[in-house]
Amino acid sequence: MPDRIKAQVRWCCVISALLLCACASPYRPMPVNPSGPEHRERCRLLFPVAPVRFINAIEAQLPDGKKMTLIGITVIDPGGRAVRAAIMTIEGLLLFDASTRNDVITLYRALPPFDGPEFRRALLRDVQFLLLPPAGEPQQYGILNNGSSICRYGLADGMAIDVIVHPDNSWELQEYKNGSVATRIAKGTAAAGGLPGIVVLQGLQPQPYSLQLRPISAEPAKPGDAK
Amino acid sequence: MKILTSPLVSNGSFCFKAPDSVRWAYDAPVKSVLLLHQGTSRRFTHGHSGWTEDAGIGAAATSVMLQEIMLWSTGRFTESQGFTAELLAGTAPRIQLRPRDSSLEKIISGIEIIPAPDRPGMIQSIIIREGEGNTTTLDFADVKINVQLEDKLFRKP
Repeated sequence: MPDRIKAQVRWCCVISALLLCACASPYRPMPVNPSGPEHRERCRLLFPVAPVRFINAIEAQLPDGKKMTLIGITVIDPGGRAVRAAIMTIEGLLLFDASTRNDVITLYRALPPFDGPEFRRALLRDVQFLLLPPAGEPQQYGILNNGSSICRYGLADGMAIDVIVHPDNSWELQEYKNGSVATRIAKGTAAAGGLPGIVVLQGLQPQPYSLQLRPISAEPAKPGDAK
Repeated sequence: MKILTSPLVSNGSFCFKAPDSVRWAYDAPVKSVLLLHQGTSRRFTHGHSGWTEDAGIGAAATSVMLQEIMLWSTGRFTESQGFTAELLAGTAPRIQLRPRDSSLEKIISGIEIIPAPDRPGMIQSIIIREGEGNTTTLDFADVKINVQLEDKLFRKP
């Protein structure tokens, strides 16, 4: 296989980005101590309730240890569970632009190596994971031993997501399958000054990667902006 | 860019030293430096762990732009390997560049270079059109010519 193709395949595997650990470790979801509905509300309020546009600096570390920084623009419409996401270079060259609604992806622009169908699915899935609450109501909610609020959502295909909001308003999202294998973890600092906090996303399955998102701006958007 | 309601504005500096050194740096919102020196291009960004060299995604395409801008900075529009140039005369003269082949056209559909009306030989703006209404505009202000630029400016920060 030519080196150029090998490199593109490697980049596509990295998809949304970087390697933090060599393999996924076994994962044990934390026990939920059932408690009042205020904990469910804290989980719900972690996610935007109205359309919003975020611009982030995205710092990614590649499997070979190299790093890259890009600018990400995301518009979400929580009501329609719609997302539009774009990636551009720091100098302004648009590399990727796509949206999704009802699991239908519309691609507006994708330059290599961001032009593969798996990349666009994975990127939009990551944005949905971070910015839209899991579909449906939590199967369990309550409090952890450390005082954090937790909501556990069951999804299809044996997947589950825990939404955890700590007493200092920092937060975690933990996605796992079959009750024990972590697939994605995100950690964020508390919002401050009208901006979301810094977010670190680690994808562990099937390919390990990680992204750090540093907010540049956040502003209200219209539902149609996410198309 | 359609996903934006207003342009995302970055501020920085652009240095050119004949014959072939360019430093394209941004201070905000993301601190970065793109260098072209002695035929090699490198990009560095400043993140939570200080200055790090970027792996190259996007940097390669941007480096092509850097090479082109270097040619334009010295008025050598017709030497471009990637673009054909046409001077559009009139009250607001400009140089229009079109990609020579379709593969480049998928990335950049056209470029307009607007000369500075009050500074002969200088560029006021570069408008890069990427298609679908997406454009990047470089506006040059506070231009200084024939100033001393040390070689270290074009090395790793």
